[in-house]
Amino acid sequence: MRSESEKKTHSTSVRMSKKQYEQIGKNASEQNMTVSQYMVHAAVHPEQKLDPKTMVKIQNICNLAEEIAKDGDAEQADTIRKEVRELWSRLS
Amino acid sequence: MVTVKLIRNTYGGLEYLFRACRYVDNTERAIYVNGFGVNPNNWNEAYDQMLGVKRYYGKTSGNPLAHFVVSFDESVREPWRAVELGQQIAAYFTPNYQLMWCIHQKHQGDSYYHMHMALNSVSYADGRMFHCGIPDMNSFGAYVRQVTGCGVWTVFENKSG
Repeated sequence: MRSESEKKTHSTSVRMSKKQYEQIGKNASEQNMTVSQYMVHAAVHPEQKLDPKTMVKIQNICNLAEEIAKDGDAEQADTIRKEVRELWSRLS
Repeated sequence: MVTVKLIRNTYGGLEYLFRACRYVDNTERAIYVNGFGVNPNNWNEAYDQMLGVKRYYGKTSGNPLAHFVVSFDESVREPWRAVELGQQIAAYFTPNYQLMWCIHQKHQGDSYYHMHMALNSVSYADGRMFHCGIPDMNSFGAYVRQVTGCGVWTVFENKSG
């Protein structure tokens, strides 16, 4: 059951040009989102450079690097982990 | 026959996700542990990484995870084979979901090995919530059949507090 703070209880309407509408629709479609989802997402994360897809890729690279490093340089593996941990903290 | 069980658990919320990550990552029970999009060697971090995705999409409430248990049949007698199948089965969900999985060795009925898989209920790809109704479970069952070459029995288990 969704918590009260995450329920979608507010709505608003937005005016835009045809060109803007088409661009937003295209952007939303590329990210497999509805127009509403995309607009809220873009507004809530305005300057987000990191997103979950990128973080998942980085984490998988880190997992692989640690596998390679664990039989060699454990310190290097630890350095990689710390760097990735720092990137995760920037996600939210 | 391979048994695929989906445990849809709402009891405990994020606490259940925390315990599930800890359970899957327990190397005293598991002969093999792996993950996708999370650190499989640190269940605390794995939990934080799944929670990070939930927070990013503003979806920290509701069902926190999907917990699958895949019991291989008696044809799987070697640990390497169970791990190999586990990799392929986990790959069904990795295009959209972070997950942790492990292989347990335990003789139960006709099964010698089974797999636990804990999926983040929020997709890292687009933030959609995981949904697995009967058609979805049938599709997954068909995939497991293709991977294992065995008949598949699917089961839903609903737990709530």
